[in-house]
Amino acid sequence: MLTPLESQGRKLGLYMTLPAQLLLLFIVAFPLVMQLYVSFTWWGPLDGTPWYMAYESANLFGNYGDIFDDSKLWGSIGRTFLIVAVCVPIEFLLGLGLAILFAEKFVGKRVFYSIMLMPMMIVPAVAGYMFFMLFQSTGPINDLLSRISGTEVEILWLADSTLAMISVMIADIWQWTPLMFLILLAGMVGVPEDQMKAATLLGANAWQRFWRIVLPRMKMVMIIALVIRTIECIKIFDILYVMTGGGPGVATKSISVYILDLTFKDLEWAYVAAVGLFILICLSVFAVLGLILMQRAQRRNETMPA
Amino acid sequence: MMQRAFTSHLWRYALILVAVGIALLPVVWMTTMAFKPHTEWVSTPGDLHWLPREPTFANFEYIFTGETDAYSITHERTATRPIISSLVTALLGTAIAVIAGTLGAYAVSRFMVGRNLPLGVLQLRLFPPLAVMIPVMIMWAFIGAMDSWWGLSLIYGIVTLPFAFWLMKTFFDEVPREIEEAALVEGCSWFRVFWKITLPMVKAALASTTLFVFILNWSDYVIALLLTRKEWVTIPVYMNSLSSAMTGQMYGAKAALGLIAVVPPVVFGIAIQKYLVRGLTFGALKQ
Amino acid sequence: MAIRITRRQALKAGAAGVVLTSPIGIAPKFIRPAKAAGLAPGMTGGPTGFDGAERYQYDETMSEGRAVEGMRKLKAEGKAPEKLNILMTDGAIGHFTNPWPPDGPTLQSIWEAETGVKLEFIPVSPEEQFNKVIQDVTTGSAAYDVYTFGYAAMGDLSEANGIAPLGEWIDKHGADFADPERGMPTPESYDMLYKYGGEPRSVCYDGDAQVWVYRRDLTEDPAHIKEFSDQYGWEPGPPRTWAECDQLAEYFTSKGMLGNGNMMSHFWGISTWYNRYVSKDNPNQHLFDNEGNPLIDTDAGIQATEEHVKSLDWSDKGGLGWSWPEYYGNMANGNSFMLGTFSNCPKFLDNSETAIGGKMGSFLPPGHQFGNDLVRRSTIYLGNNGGVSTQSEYQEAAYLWLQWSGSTRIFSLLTGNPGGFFDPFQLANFQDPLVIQSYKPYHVPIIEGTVARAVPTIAIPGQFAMHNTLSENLVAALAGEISSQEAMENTAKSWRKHLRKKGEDKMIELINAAKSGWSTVIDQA
Repeated sequence: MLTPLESQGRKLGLYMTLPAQLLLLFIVAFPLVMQLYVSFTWWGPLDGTPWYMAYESANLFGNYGDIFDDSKLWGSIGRTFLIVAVCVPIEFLLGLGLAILFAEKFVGKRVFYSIMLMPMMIVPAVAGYMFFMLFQSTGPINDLLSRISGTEVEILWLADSTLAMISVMIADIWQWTPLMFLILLAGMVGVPEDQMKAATLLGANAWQRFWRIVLPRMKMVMIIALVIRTIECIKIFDILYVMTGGGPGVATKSISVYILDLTFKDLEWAYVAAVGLFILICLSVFAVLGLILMQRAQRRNETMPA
Repeated sequence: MMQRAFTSHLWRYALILVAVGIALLPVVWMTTMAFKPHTEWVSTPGDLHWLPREPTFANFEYIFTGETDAYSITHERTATRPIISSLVTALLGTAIAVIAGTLGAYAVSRFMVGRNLPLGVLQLRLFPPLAVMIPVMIMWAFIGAMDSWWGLSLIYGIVTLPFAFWLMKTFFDEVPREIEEAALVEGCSWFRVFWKITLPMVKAALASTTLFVFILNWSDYVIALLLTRKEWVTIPVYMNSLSSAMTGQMYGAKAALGLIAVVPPVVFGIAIQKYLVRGLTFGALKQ
Repeated sequence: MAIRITRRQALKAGAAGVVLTSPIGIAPKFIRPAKAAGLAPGMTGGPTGFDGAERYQYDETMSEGRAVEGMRKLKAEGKAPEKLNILMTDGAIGHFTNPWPPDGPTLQSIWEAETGVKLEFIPVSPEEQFNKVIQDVTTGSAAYDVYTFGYAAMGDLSEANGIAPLGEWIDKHGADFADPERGMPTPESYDMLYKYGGEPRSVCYDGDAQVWVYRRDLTEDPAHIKEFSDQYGWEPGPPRTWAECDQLAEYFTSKGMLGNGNMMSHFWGISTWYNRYVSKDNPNQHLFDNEGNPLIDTDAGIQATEEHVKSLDWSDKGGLGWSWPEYYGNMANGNSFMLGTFSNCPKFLDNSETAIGGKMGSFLPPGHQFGNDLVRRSTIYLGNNGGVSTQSEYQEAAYLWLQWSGSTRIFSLLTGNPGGFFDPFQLANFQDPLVIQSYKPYHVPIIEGTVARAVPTIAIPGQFAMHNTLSENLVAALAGEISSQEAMENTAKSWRKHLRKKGEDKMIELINAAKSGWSTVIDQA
């Protein structure tokens, strides 16, 4: 039984959640239904009919079958995962290293800390443009390399397939290492000091203290950082699109860029719907796995003796 | 022992300085580029000047007036309108997200309602916007929201709702219930408690959430690219037009605009440092 | 973005190719005291107030005059809008908003004064242009009365029900687009640039055949003449065949410049490849046979691709990331020997602001020799056409504006204007003193000859996807990731699949119908 106060609260609660619920419904209901409906047809802009007439070209699972036969799609998925597989671990390790450097007090810490956070606050499209400038063959990166090596370096960063990919990765690492750093540092600071003191008294050196006490306590934080970055990195678009537009050729075409091409160049909108849903499902599975991981880590954390 | 402590300190500073240098390099390059005249935009390797030899405001003049004596081209569109557009839509989008998010978060935190919301809004964040852009474009055209201030604000509000919701939820979860309960016993209505007691207690957190959400909205590129045409084009989209096929990349003008785009989020971001971790981890972590 | 026509501080184009060209060389010649305003006797409209303005004036028997008259009639019937919304690329709006000649009026002001209908131009970058059109068509936003797009997209937009057929209005209002004396040079070229599926669907604004320019001063240099002749056995000069073209490229690359200044990058470089491919047979190396089978993976296609890849040796490898302005920039700096590109290259580069003012020449496209026949070909790959949106409430009014601005008198004035990049293609344009002044006397006959030898690319629905596949494969071959043969086979496979998906019978019919737009001009070897 609810007390009067509780039922008053319930009622108010329903009103208060209304705006958020409506926004959610608004953005989920129609797009999902439409994507699903259209994905079972061959409808596209070139049909000259509105989307609700799509049933005229129904093909059931034709589009979904095409997904597995679409080498361009799998190529872009492969490239996206390559970016994730390279960038996320590097960002993690660099972020961890930085967090260790910043773990203790030192003069100027606040200022350096603020500067280190700056890259991730920069508009990604602008960050992409910054690196576009830096990586020009007549740009400052080649200049720095020329000065260091003493010979004239003219590397074609954005015109070579491999180097373009590396350039994009460098830009992504630059922008998002600070996020890893921020999260990991927060986790590190959270380790209770008395534990550290006790360990020191027991004769543990710095390395042992880090390995035995700090790291296990940080497991949860690390998983959060990795999951968040992985999900965001799979969506990579702005920085990459501004730098290379997916080129040269298809060398840096990520999933998002491929979808954009499908939408406006290939005009296969029904297929885009199928691909979109396919990616949504894959990402959802991935996110659920991430959540399970997180929960498991959390449970283990809780059972650990404090 | 002293010696070792000193060397390790030295190492620490050396590494940190390298890291800070790398973090700053692109920003410094863009900043100096914004003040470089056209002749210094590109250079031959080995002969590069980091600082402008002849600093100029021509790039700013060009983007704000559409012409400058330094360049022989003119631009029909100036940056004023896109800057206003970015400001208006990011602010309104922030208002939508923060209001809906705060109300929803409080209700979920207190009343055991809206149990679908925590995961539901989180999923919004999961999906690449481009994967659902076609239905959104059709919908926006249908309700007449294309290239309008409210259409862009609405989608921004929706896209950043997850952050506002989760952040505020963790803040509300931390507010001790005893105070609220005491007030209720004294006959206050729930809404009064929320409005007069709880909200003032999370004032600082609310302000940080607002700034954080604003930064996210301000950072958008792809949504505005697809949902605007002329009147409400935002800064990053307008930036494209500075590389029109007619002139190639207008490095200096783009850098000047980029500099303007970078300032608000960086200033706000530093102001809310304390809450950044929370925001970026959907409240899962504190600092 | 528009080029300003007043004298500005001198600029040098940067090494990586920032081109800030200013056609200053042209402008001052026209600054004369304005003549008394007023129309020539019998004329009812057109520009006034500058020397020679009467060339662009019209009466109601002429295409422009009829358009204005039609518009006034619509207005009287209440069927005309307050203003027309026109989607147009950044670099072209200047045609309508820049005074031209410098002491003359703007086209926008002439139109608005004569009809009372305002014009609003919605700017878009060339890369976004088609996206915005197709988005408007499919989502039903109805934001524009007039779209502009590459002529090849006519098929896409017709099938999508995005643009209205124009035939009825063209007859009713008597446009002079196909006028044998003033309009398109050949019936084939009219079919190619105005029609889709046999019906006029849009009004052409931009010739855009790829025209070749080169450094005339270098081939006239005695030292080069001697060294080149000793090496190759013929005197350097405009090449007739691709083999000669490649020899010139090789020679001038060895002299420390880019022998091949052509566009090689994604999207833009397709035209360079096309130019080489389409002359591989007599009279034409088509893209598809009559049964709709792609021909690009035959020997001719693979050979053309191999030669194309080879020609990168004489080009800047960093160029794979460029768009066309960077290639213009290399020409402007004196880094490139020759360049087959849009016909406005001398309009923007042959002036005192660049390193090559007064040093340029141009030539008819190189080709392949078959016995006594020399097949010289150029292609029209991009371009700009204006179409009437089917969503517009004022379709006839929108058409009348297209008729007015696309007819031979007004278009001559339009294309001579250095404020934009729409290029001449009508017979009347090539006789026009202002156009000749802008485009250079040596260049205009070459443009005319090139347009006559130009063929279309793919103009069937889905051409964007087909071109995109071709381009990605070409760039992959240039980057050495795949062989030329693989590139062509991949592309052909994807094209076949595309035709199947879109309905082979209909597509084959369209492909074969489009063959009527291919040039049949053959030169004597």
